[in-house]
Amino acid sequence: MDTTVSGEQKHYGSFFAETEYQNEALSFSANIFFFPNEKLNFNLSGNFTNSKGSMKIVEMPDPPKEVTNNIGTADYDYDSINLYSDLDYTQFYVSFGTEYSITKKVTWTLDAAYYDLTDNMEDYQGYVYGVETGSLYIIKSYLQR
Amino acid sequence: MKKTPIGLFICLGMIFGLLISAPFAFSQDEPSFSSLSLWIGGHYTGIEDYHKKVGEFDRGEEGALPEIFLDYSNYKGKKTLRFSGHFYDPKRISVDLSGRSKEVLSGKISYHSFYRQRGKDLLNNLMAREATDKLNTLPGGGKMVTSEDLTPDADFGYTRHQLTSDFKIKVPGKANLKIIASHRSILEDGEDQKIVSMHCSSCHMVSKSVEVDRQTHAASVGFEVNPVEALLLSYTGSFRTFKSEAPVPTAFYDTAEHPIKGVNLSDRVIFGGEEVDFGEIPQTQKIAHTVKLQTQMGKSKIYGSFTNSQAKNISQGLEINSNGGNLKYVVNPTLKTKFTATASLKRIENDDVEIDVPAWRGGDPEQFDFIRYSSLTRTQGEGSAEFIYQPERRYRVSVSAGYEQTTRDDYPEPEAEGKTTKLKMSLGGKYRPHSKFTGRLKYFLEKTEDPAPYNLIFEESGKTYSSPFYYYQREELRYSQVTNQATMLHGVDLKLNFKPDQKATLSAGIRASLETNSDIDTLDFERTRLQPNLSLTLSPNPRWNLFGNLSYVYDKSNGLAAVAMMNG
Repeated sequence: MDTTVSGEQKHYGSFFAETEYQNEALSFSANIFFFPNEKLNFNLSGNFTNSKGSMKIVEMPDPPKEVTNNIGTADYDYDSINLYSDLDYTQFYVSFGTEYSITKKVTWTLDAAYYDLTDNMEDYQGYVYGVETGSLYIIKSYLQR
Repeated sequence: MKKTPIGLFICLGMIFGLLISAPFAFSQDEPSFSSLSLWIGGHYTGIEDYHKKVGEFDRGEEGALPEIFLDYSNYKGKKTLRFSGHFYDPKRISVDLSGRSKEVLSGKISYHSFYRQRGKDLLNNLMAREATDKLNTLPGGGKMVTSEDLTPDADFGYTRHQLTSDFKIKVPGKANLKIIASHRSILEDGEDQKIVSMHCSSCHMVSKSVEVDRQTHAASVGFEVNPVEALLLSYTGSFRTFKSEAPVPTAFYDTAEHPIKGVNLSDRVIFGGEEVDFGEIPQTQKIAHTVKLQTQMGKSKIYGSFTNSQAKNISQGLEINSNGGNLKYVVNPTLKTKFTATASLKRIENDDVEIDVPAWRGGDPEQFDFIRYSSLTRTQGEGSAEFIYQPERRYRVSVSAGYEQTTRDDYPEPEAEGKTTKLKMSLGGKYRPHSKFTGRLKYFLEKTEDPAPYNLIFEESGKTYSSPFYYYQREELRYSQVTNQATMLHGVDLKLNFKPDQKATLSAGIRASLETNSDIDTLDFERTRLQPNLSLTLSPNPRWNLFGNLSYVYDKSNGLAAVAMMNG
């Protein structure tokens, strides 16, 4: 039970443990250009990135008995606070384009691009902004003179 | 306001166009050539699920839009004029106009805009209430965190307009004098999220939508002059101003009362039960003067510069002033050696801020007033030397050493003049036995004394207070230090380049470093960083080109997690 005199509050100091934080990012990109003849060319580009941030589980020491007796309703389990820092995104981008010379002065172009982001922490409902998984595609065509 | 950039661009464009095109109009004798390229088409944007992150810099609207691009160039002798414009969508437009009139006048003005989507903090994690028993079967207590979104349908984002202009004029009759003038305006308009935090005794977070109307204008003028062949002098004066034209947001701050008992707690807070301004963006401006010198004496070159700057927070009447100078000396004692020495000295003075807190609980009105001394007020000195020796074309070695010292006037306490010193050394080499292989290796080291740790992170145990006790009383319990700044860094940087023939190039490299700090009693800090990369270029025949790049970044460090234990 609380040993302090009624109407008094006691401070039991700081409770701390060492932990680790880790960031990783793997990125791959490639571009291929193909010119089968003077009138036609193709290009294919892609980019893949996986970014992760994670914190090692925090293993706090057992609090003194005086603390658990006197502040009985507190939860001294810190095993899950590392999950609040887990980030894991995969970003993927691919684009394809072609140009065809209709005449010496007029060229037709068609481009298609697809952007995708996967929030791999969906199980935790995302942080701050919610689950950020989504994709976007853009198809573009024009004549150039 | 939103049409200002286009209007301003048109005005500047007309002035510039007249300046540039005048010589064209009056010199009929020279033949001119022009080219016009026009793209006409359109694009369709499709969206799936949450698009604000994957399409952060897209307009974020699904559907088809026309798109047009125009590029026009005209050449007449030594005079050129070029215009290009691209309409992608109503919020992504770019226009550039550039030209050169003989050797006398050259310039470029540009307008670029894009839209940036902003995510919304859902405040989902801000929902908690104190338990009153271990099994959480009884009704919760009065300590709680709640959140509220006043604009659930808001779509945050802003359009950024950037208008720039650069001009260079060679003064007729003064061949060695060049005048340079440039300008940049950045205007941002849209809607953004602001979160108001209010208590006591329950913490209540309220999300609001506020207007964005930020304006930054910067201009600089200067000159370059060669009074004699081996001497180049220049001066640049610059001015930058920032302000928000959006109305200052207001929020109704809760009346401070116990959420369960209803007890009035207004004596714990400075304001409550009223509409209050919050999140005001200060108006700022900065003026800077820079003088540069470059000279050559025999085998030696000397570069020097001095900058004086003054930044003001006009809204609060605060200033940061700085004066700094740099010197660089480069000499080639022989054809095989090169020596470089640098030195710099900088003084920064940031105004102290007097925090005036109203009387609290009818007590001493001076109790919580304090002065925030800035750790930015400092004197920084640096010196370095590098020696490169290349006995033959195949290889080269280099060695360098440097010293930095930062003295902070008021860190860790007022007038303490806390000092951080850093010694830097590196040893490097380049090996190129033939044209098909080049290898570079560098080792570097940094030794830091007193890297300005954060003070007073823990709280001592055993203190008993009368009930209740307050956050400010915990200040006197604080002790110890911790930092994520290293006292020792060792690193290597390796780069290899293979080029077996003109059709293929393979590059590989790795940068690795280990940072440590064992000077702090609560943590042996360690940080490891690895950055390998590999790239390949292949052109097997004129029809095929392939480029590939693979990179990886690994960054791991340790730290402390700490909580304070108390009742009350």
